[in-house]
Amino acid sequence: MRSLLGVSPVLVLTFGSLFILVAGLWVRNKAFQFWTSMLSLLVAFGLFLGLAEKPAQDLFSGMIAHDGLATFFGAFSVFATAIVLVMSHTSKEIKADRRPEYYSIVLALATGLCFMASANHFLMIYLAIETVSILSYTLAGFKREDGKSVEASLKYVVYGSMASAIMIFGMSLVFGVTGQFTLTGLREFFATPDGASAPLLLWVGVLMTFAGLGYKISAAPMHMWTPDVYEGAPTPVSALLSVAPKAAGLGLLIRFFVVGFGQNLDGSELAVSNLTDPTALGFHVTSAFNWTQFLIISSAFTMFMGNLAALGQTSVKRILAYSSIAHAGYMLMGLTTQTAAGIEAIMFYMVIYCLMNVGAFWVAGKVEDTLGGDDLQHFKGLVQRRPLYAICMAVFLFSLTGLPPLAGFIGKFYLFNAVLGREMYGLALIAGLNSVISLYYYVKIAKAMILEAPQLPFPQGKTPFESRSSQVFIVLLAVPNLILGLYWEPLMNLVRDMLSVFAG
Amino acid sequence: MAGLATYLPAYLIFALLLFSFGLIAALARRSAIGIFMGVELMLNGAALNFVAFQALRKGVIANDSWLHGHIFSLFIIVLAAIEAAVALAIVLRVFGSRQTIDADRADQLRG
Repeated sequence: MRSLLGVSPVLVLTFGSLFILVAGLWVRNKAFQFWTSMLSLLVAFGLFLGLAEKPAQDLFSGMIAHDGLATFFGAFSVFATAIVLVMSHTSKEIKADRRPEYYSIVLALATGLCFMASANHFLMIYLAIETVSILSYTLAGFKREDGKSVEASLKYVVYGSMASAIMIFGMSLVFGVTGQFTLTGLREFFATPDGASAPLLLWVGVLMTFAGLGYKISAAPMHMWTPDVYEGAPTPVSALLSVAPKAAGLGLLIRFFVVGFGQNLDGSELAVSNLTDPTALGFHVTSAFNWTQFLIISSAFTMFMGNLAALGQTSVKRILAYSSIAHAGYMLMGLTTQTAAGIEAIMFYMVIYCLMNVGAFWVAGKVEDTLGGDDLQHFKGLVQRRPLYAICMAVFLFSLTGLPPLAGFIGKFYLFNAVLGREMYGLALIAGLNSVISLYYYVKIAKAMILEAPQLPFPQGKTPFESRSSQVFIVLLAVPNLILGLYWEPLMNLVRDMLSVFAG
Repeated sequence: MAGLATYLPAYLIFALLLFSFGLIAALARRSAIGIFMGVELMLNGAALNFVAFQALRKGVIANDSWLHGHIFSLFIIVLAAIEAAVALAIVLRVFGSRQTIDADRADQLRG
């Protein structure tokens, strides 16, 4: 009963998903379908808020953990899904007769995300990742009459199934060496004499598992699917995939490293519950494998791969896809520091990243709905046509670059601060260089919108831009980018509160 | 069962071979169906690994996870079936839109 109460948000989402699937057979009303799915997301979010007060504990005999990290990333995934649901509601890319299935799949995806954020057992990690992956494949191909969308879905399923097969083989090796299935058990194993002299095979297994998790957050070199999928998938789906699975994946990665390998810097066993003690956190580093160096290389490589590949692109959705790879690199930087400050910075950045990235995809989606494409030429002169959208887009783009006084700057500031706190000057320099590179392609979009003359004929009459709810929401996404750039303390305090309740 | 520990290396080598052949097939095959058959082999390698390691550990460790390896392999089989169902549906759509399931020919999205 205690366990069931702990997963009540997920139960609500499951029932919501099934209800819409069945009710959609009879009720063809768009608004009804939208509001019932929204209702189950809101109830789930509310339940998460209620559960946040509870102390950290293991549920279902250690299969999943209930703690601040799980609640934060679970609630955040639900929040991001809700925003994207509004975006889908106003989008033309999701056909009316497929909406019940669409809402049902999106809600089921949210359940997978909540489990990803709280999984503490290899089986749960595998099940949660597969739930999210398999539903994402179908969502990517949701415009099934469009060859591009189908191709995106094919590429996604090819890369995704290979990544998950590699991950599961890695897990089998970890289990073979340690005999442990839970992350908590893994940490206990490292405290024993066996753990201190673990064979290389274990680290091969851990690395393969990391590859599967890195695939979900599109860390290089497992990022190849990202641009193709984001470009081909319907825009609301691209927005969802760029935020929600990435957040849950990072939450899982944080738990994987902290609970599985966390050790005090002096080598004694880490009490995960005092994570916020500023000096407490340091990962297990063996002579066989240097995690710090590995994470630094992985993070720097991811940033460069994303930013350099974005430079020559003309499709805005593709640019945003590469930018999302680069942002995964920035966020991995927080994990590299192996401090509570770094993890706080990731969580803080994730919220801001959601606001700016979904916003940018939102405008790209409206342009695609109206003009039939998302190339730079479709954006030319947007400020003369629809100034509200152009200005909001400029806010999102400059926030993504990290220019003050926008929220993206504060997010990057905390990440850089955590990196400098561990005296990783080289990594900070690389990240700074990458921010400068990224300025080029973000400004390229802004220039096309604001400085260049319109090129393509704009349809007369009512366009998707005129939708009232879309206008309200685009402003609701842009304004926090300005406010959080000046007054961010409440959000940072919330993140700190969440991180102070850690199970394992 | 007692003899299994002696033969464990054979099981592990076989699992590793399954995994490697699957990986090679998935990387080298051009037909999408061939790629998914390769992935299927990789998953079976992992499932065999779980069962073999679990049989080795039976009775050695005194905790409550003495059946988890077997259960894990059952879950792998179920999820492999689900993945195959979704993958084949997608392959069907690809065939419907371009009359080929050659993964090399999926080149509309690039840049």
